[in-house]
Amino acid sequence: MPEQRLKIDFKRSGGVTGMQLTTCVDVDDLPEDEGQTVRDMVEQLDLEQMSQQPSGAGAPDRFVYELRIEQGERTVDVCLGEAELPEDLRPLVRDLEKRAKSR
Amino acid sequence: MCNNCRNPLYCIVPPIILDRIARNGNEGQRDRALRTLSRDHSLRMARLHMAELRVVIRRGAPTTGTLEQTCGNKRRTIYDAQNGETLPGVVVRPEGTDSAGDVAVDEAYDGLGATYDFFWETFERDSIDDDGLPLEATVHFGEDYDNAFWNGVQMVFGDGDGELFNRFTSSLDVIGHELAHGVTEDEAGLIYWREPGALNESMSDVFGSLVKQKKLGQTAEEADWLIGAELLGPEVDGVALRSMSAPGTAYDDDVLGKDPQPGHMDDFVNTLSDNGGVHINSGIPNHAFYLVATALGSYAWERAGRIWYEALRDPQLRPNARFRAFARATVTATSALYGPGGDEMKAVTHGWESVGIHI
Repeated sequence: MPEQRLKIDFKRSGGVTGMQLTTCVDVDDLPEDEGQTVRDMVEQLDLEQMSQQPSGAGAPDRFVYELRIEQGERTVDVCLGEAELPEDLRPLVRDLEKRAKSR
Repeated sequence: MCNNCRNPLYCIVPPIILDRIARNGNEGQRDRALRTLSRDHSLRMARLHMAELRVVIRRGAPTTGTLEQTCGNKRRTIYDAQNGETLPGVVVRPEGTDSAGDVAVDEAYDGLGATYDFFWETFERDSIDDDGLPLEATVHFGEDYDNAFWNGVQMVFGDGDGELFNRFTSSLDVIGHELAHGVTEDEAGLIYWREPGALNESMSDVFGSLVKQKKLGQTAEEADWLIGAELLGPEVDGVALRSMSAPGTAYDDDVLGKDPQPGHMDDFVNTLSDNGGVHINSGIPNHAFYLVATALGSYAWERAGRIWYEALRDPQLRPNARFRAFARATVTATSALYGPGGDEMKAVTHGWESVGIHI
């Protein structure tokens, strides 16, 4: 059975720099092992719960993370402040930050 | 007695109130003015009330010297998070100790000192809360952490990734920016969303830049009006994070994009990112300050800085204040400080008009 389609739009805004980092990852375009790593990181997430978590009040110079995760037929939007980032989402965010920084 | 304390009363009562006191001239009128102010139950007014009590206590016990000893004295502590994210971390440099050879620690220590000195020497403000709050900062926060922030209690600085960003203690104006967030929180309490949030950000850029200008002894004409010039890593195509003199021109980079800051209300950016564009639309009030400061010339902290500071302390300024409300507060402050018909008022009204804020 073929793997589900997985695509992630990522944006980090805010921070004292105010500079945005953005990237869009389509797992089908990644080398197989890299793609599997991203799939594994997404599999660990409770996307429904995450999408319903309210973004807290803005805090000076903290980052704001916005993710749109398209997995198979469903699309989930997540918008969270840095201080509210759940522990299990951090590895994916760190991975996406690195991809967004690569030239 | 503390020799650094020029006038203990200045530590605890805002200058505009002192102006009124001086104008009224006698002790009975002074007491009435203070009582009137204490009727307001906001945090700021509560503090003024406390200030009144302290003056009364001091009058009753003139030999204690307690106030004199606490005014104008820095109390810094620098911590090391050792690349973790637990705050505050390990104490590495308390007040009065020598450098241990860590550049980030020393930059934080010296930067907090320069910022404290700026607020004390320029506005007679005794730390973030105007009541001698100890200053705490943590360096080496996180791994390759591209940020610095004020968390309501202390300042936090990352090391940067070494490619896009250098360590976040390397720009004095960024250290001043973070400490000024504490001042804004203590005074107007501007909410961190859209226009009030952009005002909050602009306050930090204005006072951060003034800290640097005063440290370097620069006039408004000599200053670079850049924020975070030392922060940008070697690979970034740009000169700074933001430019107050020319918003939107600080960088144009393959990874980071182009500086999105507007310098006029016609170009106000509507966005949900960045808490409604707080680091973007701050370019508008930033540029207004630059225009006022350069129109007045000489040292920007003397008149333009004083006007902005008193406007931030205006009890009429609400936490949800938008640009125009703040602009009006600067007009009120200008009139109180310099009169309604002078060069200062012309510079202030022209500065705001030039960025599309009609008072």
